[in-house]
Amino acid sequence: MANNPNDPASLSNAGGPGMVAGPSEGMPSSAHTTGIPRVRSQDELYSEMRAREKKKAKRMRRKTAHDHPVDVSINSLLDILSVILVFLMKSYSASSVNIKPSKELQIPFTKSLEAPAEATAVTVTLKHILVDDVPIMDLEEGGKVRPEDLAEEQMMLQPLYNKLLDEVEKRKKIMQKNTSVEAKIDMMLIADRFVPFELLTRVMYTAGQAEFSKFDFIAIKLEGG
Amino acid sequence: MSFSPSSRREELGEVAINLNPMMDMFAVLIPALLMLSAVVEVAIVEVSAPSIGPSSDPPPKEDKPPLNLTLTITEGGYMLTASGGELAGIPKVDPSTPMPQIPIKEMPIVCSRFRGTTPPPRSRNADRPMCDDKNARDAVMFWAYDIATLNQAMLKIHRDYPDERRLIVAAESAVQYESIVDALDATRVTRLADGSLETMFDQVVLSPATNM
Repeated sequence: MANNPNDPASLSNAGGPGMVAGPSEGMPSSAHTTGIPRVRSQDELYSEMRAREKKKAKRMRRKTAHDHPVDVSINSLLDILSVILVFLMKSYSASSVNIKPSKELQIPFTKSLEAPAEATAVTVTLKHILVDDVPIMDLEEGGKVRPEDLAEEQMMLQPLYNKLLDEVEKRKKIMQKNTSVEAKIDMMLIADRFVPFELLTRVMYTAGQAEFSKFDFIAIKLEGG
Repeated sequence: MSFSPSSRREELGEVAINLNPMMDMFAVLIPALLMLSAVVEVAIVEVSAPSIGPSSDPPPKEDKPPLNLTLTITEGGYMLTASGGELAGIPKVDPSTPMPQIPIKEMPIVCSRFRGTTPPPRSRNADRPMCDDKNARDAVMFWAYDIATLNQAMLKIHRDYPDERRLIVAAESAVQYESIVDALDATRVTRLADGSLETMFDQVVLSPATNM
């Protein structure tokens, strides 16, 4: 309201300071004492008005730019994201081993550079034995085998043996149906670094009884080989 | 009225599809996949189990008897024996009082691999302070298996018997899995001075624990 140049009241108000300042800068003292404001020329007033209008128009322009929603094209961003997504999906499906090290499963390090292949994953920690991420056996403190889990001959682990036999059956069936698959029954052994050799040999002996003959010890690749 | 086709054309033209839901989906999927794929990179160490019972394929006839090189890992170090030949430079093990030819040594070990524990053999390092985040980058004195010496010894045996690739690995029942993987690493390949890798004994057979 105060800044509206079309409003005569605001115009005179806005001009006020200029008018007061005017006389103090060497205007005749008579004009000052009589209280009659110095009459500005028409040109002066018009130029002032124009300047103010210009300013307002500028302000309005800026305001409208903010008020309307801006159309940002996200198509290019979407393109990038879809490419990244495809690459991530590809790399995810390529790795057959998915290991999440935890406090219970600390995997040792190796300098080996061989990449793991698809195989039945047997995970051995000091507390459990898992086959393909399904818990099969619980162990006692320090990786000791519970007596009821031992087979009669005192070396084999019975629950693990039963599960591995099922796995071998499954693999054999797949191989019969799909002859293009190379016939092999391999095992991937993911073990905690603290697992004693005794437990390890028991697991391997059990797997050997279930017709597994090749074992891939999984370890974290050390940088630099 | 009939002279106003411009608005119609505009309607039929560019249709703005709302891509926001798709963006939302991508924004969730990408971090999820990144998390899943950011697991550690792994490698394998191939091992075969000892064949029990009659072997399916008969052993190939050879002119000379197999070396039967056996590496036994004990809490005190590595023992190397061979029934089929002499191991030059490695003293024979006296069966009555077996002593490892490559005993464990006290040496500075970089702690980063052993956070929250000590290097193997852990029974010997039980009185030492554990590695933690504070000293992860330091080399701390520990009893440790002499992997470098084993690697050198294996290279020498490999040079003496270049055709032998089979190694039998046995261990005491208390020896931990980590020590076995370390030993297999040292016997499998070696890095020569020129930086190339030489494969030594890559057909590893694990034999059951010696004192079960």
